Amino acid sequence: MHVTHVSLADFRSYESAELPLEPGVTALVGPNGQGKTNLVEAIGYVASHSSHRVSSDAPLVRAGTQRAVVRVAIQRDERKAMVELEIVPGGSNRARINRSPVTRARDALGMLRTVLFAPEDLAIVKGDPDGRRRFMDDLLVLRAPRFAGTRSDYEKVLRQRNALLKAAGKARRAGRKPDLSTLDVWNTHLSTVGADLLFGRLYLVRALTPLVAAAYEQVSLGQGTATLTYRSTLGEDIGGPVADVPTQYDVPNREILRERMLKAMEEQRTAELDRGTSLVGPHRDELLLTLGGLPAKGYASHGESWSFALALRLSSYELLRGDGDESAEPVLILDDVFAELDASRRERLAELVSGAEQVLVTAAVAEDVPKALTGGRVDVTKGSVTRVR
Amino acid sequence: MQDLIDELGHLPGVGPKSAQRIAFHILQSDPVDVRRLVAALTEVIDKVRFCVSCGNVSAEELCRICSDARRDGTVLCVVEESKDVVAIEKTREFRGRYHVLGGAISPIEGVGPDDLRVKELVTRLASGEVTEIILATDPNLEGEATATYLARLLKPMGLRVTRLASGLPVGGDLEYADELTLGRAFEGRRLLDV
Ligand SMILES: Nc1ncnc2c1ncn2[C@@H]1O[C@H](COP(=O)(O)OP(=O)(O)O)[C@@H](O)[C@H]1O
Ligand SMILES: [Mg+2]
Ligand SMILES: [Zn+2]
Repeated sequence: MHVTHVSLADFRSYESAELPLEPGVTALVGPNGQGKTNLVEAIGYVASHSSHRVSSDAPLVRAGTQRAVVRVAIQRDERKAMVELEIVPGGSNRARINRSPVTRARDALGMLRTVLFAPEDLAIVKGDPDGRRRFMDDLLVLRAPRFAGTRSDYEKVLRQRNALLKAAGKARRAGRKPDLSTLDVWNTHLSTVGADLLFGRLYLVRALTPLVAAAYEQVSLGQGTATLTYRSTLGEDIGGPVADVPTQYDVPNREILRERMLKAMEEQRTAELDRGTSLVGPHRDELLLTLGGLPAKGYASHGESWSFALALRLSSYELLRGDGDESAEPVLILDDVFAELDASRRERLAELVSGAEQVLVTAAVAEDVPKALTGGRVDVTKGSVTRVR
Repeated sequence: MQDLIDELGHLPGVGPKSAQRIAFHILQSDPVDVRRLVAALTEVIDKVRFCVSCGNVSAEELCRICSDARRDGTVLCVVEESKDVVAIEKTREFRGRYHVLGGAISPIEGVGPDDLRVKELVTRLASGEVTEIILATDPNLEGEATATYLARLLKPMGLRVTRLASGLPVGGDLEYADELTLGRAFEGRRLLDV
């Protein structure tokens, strides 16, 4: 698939902007702070309903206004579609598909698929587990949009259960009897949604692992083996090493995962009451990234960490591309990444993505865009967008 | 004037701006209309109270539905708020009686079973007249959790416990479901397995 047109209203620095696009490579070029990332961020938002830069939606709306609108025209084989998202921080977003409103904004997920590379990706490798969980869940939702509901339900149940544990802990410390009469109910709901999320993640990691290994080999020219391991708080046997025999690796079914989660909550009950928070479940799980048997975080060099980050994105692209027919191929977005990479990683990344249906690249100067990615060019200065090639 | 604006601002769905607009509207209205509003408000607080049996708003000690002998006393429909009773009555699908909980379980808001009319519900069931309970709490997380809680509490009493059929907009309020959907949800209610 590819994007044929982007319109913005009150998104970030743009009061309004119109950008026609074509398949193949388009470089968005302009000095820093001119609005290049803002443009590709908007496209990425339509695909994932979240920004790759900020966790809250408030900064996405132009200062002094209340809501932003992003409209994207998509071409998928011969089919055309238009997706419009109205971003309302502190409220519910609204979406339209081909000008008809949909019930919930998340019903518009899946219309556009993107894989976005950005300087922030390095934090997936070097940063907190939270970034790796987000990486998995974002990709899961891109692949199977119904998981957007699972993810948001899980967060809601978790907040309720944590509030209950916190209140109970407080009552206990004050010498009162804690009211735990609804804990079982929250356990039921958390384990049901949690098992679904965990199931989705385990499947995802299983499919992604061989692709990550292959992508890392390509990016690093055979320097070491990259592996993913899902570390579940439900026990080491869940999500064990999957690289060796990916085909024989079995993802337990949801019912088993649900029972395991209930059991783990039972075992952790005292600790959960002491800490006043939920200690088991997907929100505490970790995606371990290893390089030649050692954890990438803390061991890998800066260059190796970058190779791993690129491998995660490249493998995401491969995974999405392999879903169903050719039109499933996502749009590739490379936001300011070439400036971060050394010469050899630059060239290899450029080669690997040059055959994609559509690639959008941002760069401060045209020289930052590798030769292999020569194509269309759009200049971005002070929020005005001009196609020069 | 500021007092009035502040008071209006406490009403649900009325922000500071709307409160100001309403206050100025009242100021410019015909005093006769305003007195009628005042009279209606006074009457509500003086005469309307909550039914001692079901908790629904009522003019009498026992509400019209609870005192209506033609209603089926064997089926009890449990809802969160009085406004849900109004919504269900509009469908004309249901001929039993109601029990209004006064909210839903939500630890975040500090609402547990003791803050709802759960004890009153259990007391009401003691006579044995009721044989089926329909849990018609909202189709959102808190409503579902409340339904699960009640189903587990009531199951040992040997009652038939059912939940409104799905098809209601998930994440929503019962009162916003249209009459047809709500009516169908009643027909297609399912046994709760807990
Ligand atoms: N919500 C907003 N309202 C107005 N301006 C914004 C908003 N968010 C970001 N900006 C402005 O957008 C510019 C950054 O644009 P960006 O696309 O990140 O630049 P670059 O071209 O370097 O990628 C900054 O000047 C910033 O002040
Ligand atoms: Mg930028
Ligand atoms: Zn009554």
